[in-house]
Amino acid sequence: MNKCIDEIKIFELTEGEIFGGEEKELFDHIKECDKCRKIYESYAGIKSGVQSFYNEIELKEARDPEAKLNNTANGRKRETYFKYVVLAASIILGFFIIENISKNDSSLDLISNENEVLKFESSISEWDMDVYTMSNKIELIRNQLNESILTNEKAENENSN
Amino acid sequence: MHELKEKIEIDELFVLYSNDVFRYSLSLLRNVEESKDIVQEVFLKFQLSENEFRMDCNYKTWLFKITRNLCFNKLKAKQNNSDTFDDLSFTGTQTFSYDDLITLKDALAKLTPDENELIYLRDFEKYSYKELADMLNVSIDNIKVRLFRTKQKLRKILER
Repeated sequence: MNKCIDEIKIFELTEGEIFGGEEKELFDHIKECDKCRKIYESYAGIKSGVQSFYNEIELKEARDPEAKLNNTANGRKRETYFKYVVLAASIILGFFIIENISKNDSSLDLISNENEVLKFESSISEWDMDVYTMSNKIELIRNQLNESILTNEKAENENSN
Repeated sequence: MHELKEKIEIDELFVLYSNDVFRYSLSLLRNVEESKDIVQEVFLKFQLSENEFRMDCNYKTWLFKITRNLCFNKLKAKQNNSDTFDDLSFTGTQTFSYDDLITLKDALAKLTPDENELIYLRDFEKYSYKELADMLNVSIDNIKVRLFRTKQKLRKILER
């Protein structure tokens, strides 16, 4: 074979797609022909080069699929549960806070009901009235006491004279 | 395929095929970090859709199908893939020096994802034309022509 081989034939040869007599004939030519040998070597070089290239690549620090799973399906579920737990806790906490405030400040109950407010106001007035009456009584007693002291003092002076 | 009837645990599958999935996604995406993400997603997707797994193909083929879909979805979202196998480190082999591998890396980076995929599956994974045709849903002749054109293109890039 003196005529150069088609490039596609050389390619098929490197791919192991040519067998038997034809394979031997092509190799005989390649041994003799620099041009065809160069093409053959470049295709064969690419093939083994690609093998070496990918052989050197290894997965280092692989990411755990389970970790991804936690960030997706289960993770979303857990996140949702957590939201519900926080919501429930907030409602309970809020309920206790409001109850405590209303216990400490009875005016809240009174304000909430107009009748209660009126009652509250009237009780204050009654209390005011009581205070007024009481203070008058005290004043009256004090005056009576002062008068009796003065009377006693007069009587003692007269006796001594 | 009778040997594949036995169910394999996901941990075992990860040990067996995570490197293959990583390399395959790297051939398509040319990005180390994105390929790591793909490995994680592939095994997660496999775990979530294990019931859909057909015993008529092997685990690796099924994992590669998932890998391919995820990678092409990613490439579609990116539209323009300008990644060039950055962050890859080589030590060199007896046949190929560090410089040879860097030259090859730069040349592979100039190919399209489809071209890189074909070269990876044929030259590294050693799939036959028939297996490639089934996997990529094209004819055997189409595989032969595409592979020849891709290698021809690569050869010309390397000769420059």
